[in-house]
Amino acid sequence: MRKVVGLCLGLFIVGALAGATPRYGGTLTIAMEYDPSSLDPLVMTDTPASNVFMHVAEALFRLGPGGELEYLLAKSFESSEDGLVWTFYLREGVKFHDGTPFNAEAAKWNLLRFRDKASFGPTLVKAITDIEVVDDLTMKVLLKEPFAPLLVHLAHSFTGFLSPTAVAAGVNHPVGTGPFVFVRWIPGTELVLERNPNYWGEGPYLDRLVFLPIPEGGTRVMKLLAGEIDATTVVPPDDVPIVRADPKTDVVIIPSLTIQYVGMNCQRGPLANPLVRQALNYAIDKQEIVDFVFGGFATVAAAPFSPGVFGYHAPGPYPHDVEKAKALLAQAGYPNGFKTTLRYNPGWRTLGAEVIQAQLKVVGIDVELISMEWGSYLDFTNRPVDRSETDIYMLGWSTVTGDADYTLYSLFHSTQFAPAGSNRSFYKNETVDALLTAGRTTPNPELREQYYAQAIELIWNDAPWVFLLNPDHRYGVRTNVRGLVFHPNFTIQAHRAWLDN
Amino acid sequence: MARSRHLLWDAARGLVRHRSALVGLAVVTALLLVALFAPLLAPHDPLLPRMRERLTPPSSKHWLGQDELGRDILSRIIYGARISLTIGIVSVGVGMAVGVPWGLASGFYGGKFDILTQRSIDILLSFPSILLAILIVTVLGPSLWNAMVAIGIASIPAYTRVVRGSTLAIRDAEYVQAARAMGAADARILVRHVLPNVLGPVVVLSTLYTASAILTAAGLGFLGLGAQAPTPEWGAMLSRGREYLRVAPHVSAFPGLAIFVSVLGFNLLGDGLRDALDPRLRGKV
Amino acid sequence: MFSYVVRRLLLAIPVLLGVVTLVFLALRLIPGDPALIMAGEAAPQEVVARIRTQLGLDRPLAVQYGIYIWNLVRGDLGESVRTRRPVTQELGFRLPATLELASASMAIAVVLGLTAGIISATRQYSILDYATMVGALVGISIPVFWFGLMAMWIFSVRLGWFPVGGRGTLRHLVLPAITLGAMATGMIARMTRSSMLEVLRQDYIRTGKAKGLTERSVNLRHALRNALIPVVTVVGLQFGGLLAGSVLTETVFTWPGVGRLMVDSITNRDYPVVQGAVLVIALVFTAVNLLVDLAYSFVDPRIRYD
Repeated sequence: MRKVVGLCLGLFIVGALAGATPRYGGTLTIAMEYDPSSLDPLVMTDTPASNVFMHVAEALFRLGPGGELEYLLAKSFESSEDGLVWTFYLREGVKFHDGTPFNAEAAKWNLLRFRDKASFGPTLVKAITDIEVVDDLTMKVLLKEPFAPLLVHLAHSFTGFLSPTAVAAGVNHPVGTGPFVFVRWIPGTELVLERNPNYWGEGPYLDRLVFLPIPEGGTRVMKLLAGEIDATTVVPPDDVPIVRADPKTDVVIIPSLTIQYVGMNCQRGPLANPLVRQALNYAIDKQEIVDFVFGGFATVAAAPFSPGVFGYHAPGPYPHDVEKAKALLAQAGYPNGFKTTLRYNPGWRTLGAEVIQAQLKVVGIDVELISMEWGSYLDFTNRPVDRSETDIYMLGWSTVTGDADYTLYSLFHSTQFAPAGSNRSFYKNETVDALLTAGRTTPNPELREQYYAQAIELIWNDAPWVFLLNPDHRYGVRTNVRGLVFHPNFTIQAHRAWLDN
Repeated sequence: MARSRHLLWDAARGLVRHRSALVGLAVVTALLLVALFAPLLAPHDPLLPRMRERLTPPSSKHWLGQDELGRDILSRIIYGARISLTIGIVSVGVGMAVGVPWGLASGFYGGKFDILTQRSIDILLSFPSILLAILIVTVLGPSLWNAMVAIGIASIPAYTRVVRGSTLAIRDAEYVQAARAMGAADARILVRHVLPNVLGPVVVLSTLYTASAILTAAGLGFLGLGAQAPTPEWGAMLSRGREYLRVAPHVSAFPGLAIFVSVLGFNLLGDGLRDALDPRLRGKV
Repeated sequence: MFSYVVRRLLLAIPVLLGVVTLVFLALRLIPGDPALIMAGEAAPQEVVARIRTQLGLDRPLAVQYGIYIWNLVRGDLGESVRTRRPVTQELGFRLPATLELASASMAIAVVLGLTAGIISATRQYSILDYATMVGALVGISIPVFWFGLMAMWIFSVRLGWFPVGGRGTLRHLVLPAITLGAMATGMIARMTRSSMLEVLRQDYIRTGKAKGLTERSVNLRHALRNALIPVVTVVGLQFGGLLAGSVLTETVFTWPGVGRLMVDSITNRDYPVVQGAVLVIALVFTAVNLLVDLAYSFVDPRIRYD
């Protein structure tokens, strides 16, 4: 198996080492922060959706333990020399939950529909120009130019296949080929899946899988302690000791694919000066935020994305150095600091923003905090550069595909200035642009790594962000749960989970 | 002039007779003093974080403990009194500034304008006031100032209705008719004869609405629609503390207590004033 | 009587239209592009533009308003921007939870409030009277979210008597219902007390007592019945208060009702859902007040031509 992704992070399987024989039956209840926005792949954008959808529908591949590509509905594939034609051989004998057979026609129909109509279509599969059905279980995917991250994008759970018959009939819940079948969803209350007795692979042990939306972290923790739920996402850092202290519950800490950053508008005011941006990097004590806002469950960022992603290269971190920050500010012509604004959306960022405000005050930068709720916040930071009033803002980004391209291109390429893309710092460096373009069109992994390393060095020096930290995921779980997979891409996989007595 | 001296006299006499109202007066006065002298009273800087001491329970150095950034909760509550009082004053001011003239005009002139007024009030009253406030803050964007304005706007119909009712009652009184017959200008009649008569209910309403404004603002703060970090607004403090309920209940307990005591104070005072000035208002405000 | 009912119903129409228009305008003035939220942070511009067209957000305001009213008349509240489900369906999931909570709170408030008010009035100036009235005042002055939070901390976290929020069994309902009902209880107790006291001073009650009826029977049979009239109004008004309070209570107890839905939808800039939630709350409130008015006019014909 060719290793496509550099994901070498600890994915975590609870109870994996326990030698007991798996037990069939039972219901596993997982609490998530939110309901999925939708279970329609054309609409889905969030992790809760991904968590549910991946149990019901399957894509061609998935990212497995250690980040290598695992085959799901693809059995094998080959690509042409020029990287423009990809032939996929599909798994035989697979049926959707409604009995419709899975074949090349169904796969083609799904992928083209996803490309043309899905919110994530352009992000994930825009490179596909057409698909040819060769025979029932073979299809050729045609690209207009080489696209190195194609396979990892086809491993994204959102590209999971739905029964064309069910979609045509207007069934408003997902009908896929996965190990679990959709039963019901009462938004705000519960979402229930049931084991698929006709699953093509090794089927699940569990009878049922239930997802509960519980927005408040403390409530999730208390329900876990009370045994009302079996597992939960996002244990608040201050609750970790409590959950650990109870012998019936435990906390699973795994590194994430996320970076939390403080973005700076590179085209406006004092922050347009790279020296000032570097000064902020020195002035902000990232370790203090790691220790007290994240309870120590994070790592100070040493690169623009998290370790373990393909193309990772670490020039940092910037040390906490108040004197150096002051010197840089003086050199840039702001010996007495300046006034600026910091926008953020509530959540842990409120705490983070307050800490940053206090830290920047030490070097003379007077920061006004402006909290905006998510919608207005996205909107505000998404204004085109000539109308942008953003100074400093806080956001996070997850490299869900495990490939540097997904982060660097979207966030630092100058064609990706908001609102066209996600470059909300309006960072522009022509050398970086060239390197990032080369990175996504070059098939050779070694060359790609070199390009990305060079780009990262430049980005690090230009400092369009304060590179804050890579948070760990903090899952809570009952100790009788076995085989539940906590993946660094933020999904919980119950495919082979079972409940011990 | 004679009327307003009466009003003060009535109020004072009523309050003295009313023991609970005196308690209310004491709480409100204390709140005023705390707000006024906050910099002298606060033992620490309300905005200074001490991350290493975060979530520490009450101690001899920090009587009410420290919050999620290690800031002194007592000092934050003391400074928060300023904010709560400002909320009360501004929102009551907004409600009064619009509601009183509107109600006066509507009651005094009657006719189509009055009908229109009544319908508008009906519409505004179809929203429970916090809902109206939420709606307005959503439009204006979350901030302390917008929350105060929103709460003020939400209280306009109450003022308009009460003032309109009192004006209607006085409009046809003999001395008003007499003044009219003597050719006095409307404005003069309104100010000299009608206004003093509606002053009583307005004072009572304002006291009670200060209580409800503080409560609503705290509610908005709790929902994240009011004061923004790091402002020590009680509702927002409480809301932040919610996340630490299991490990540090003091972070949410004390700000809540502060809200409760202040609201109680204004309610007690308002009750007393109502009984003293205008017992007919019972059940109406 | 009939004409009064008809007139009262007709009067409700402009009010409702006003409510509907106000909500429409308010939500169109809000900054924040729903198409952008829907598409997600990582979406390219072309996707955002496509969604904007789908939602009709690129049309003139007047046209949007016309479509909105026409759809409303047909019972179509639009589609959730976030989930793409019909808003009526979203509300359908949540409304039962809110009504359940509000009814339970109301039941508690009426029973407790009436009892407290009666006891207080019949034993005026006793310790019991003072205690009850202080209790009522506390109920009115206590912030619901704080009360809820402290109740949760004591009874769920420390003592473990009740679940920590969510909806399901009767035990889930207890704390939220008491929390939400606190203010209404206080209001009803106070109203009952003052209304009872007023009635007790009336001549016919004195006559009744003079004629040798027992105090108890006078209080309950005659005084209470008359004292109830203004109490009914307070109950109606408080129902609106309960719906409003449910926004906060549902947030504290993660109760999957309309209030919580509204708060979440504000965060997500889900206009159609916020609009629907506000409308539903305003409609229920208006309907309850209408019913109270009508009930009132049956009991006391004098107020009909107010």
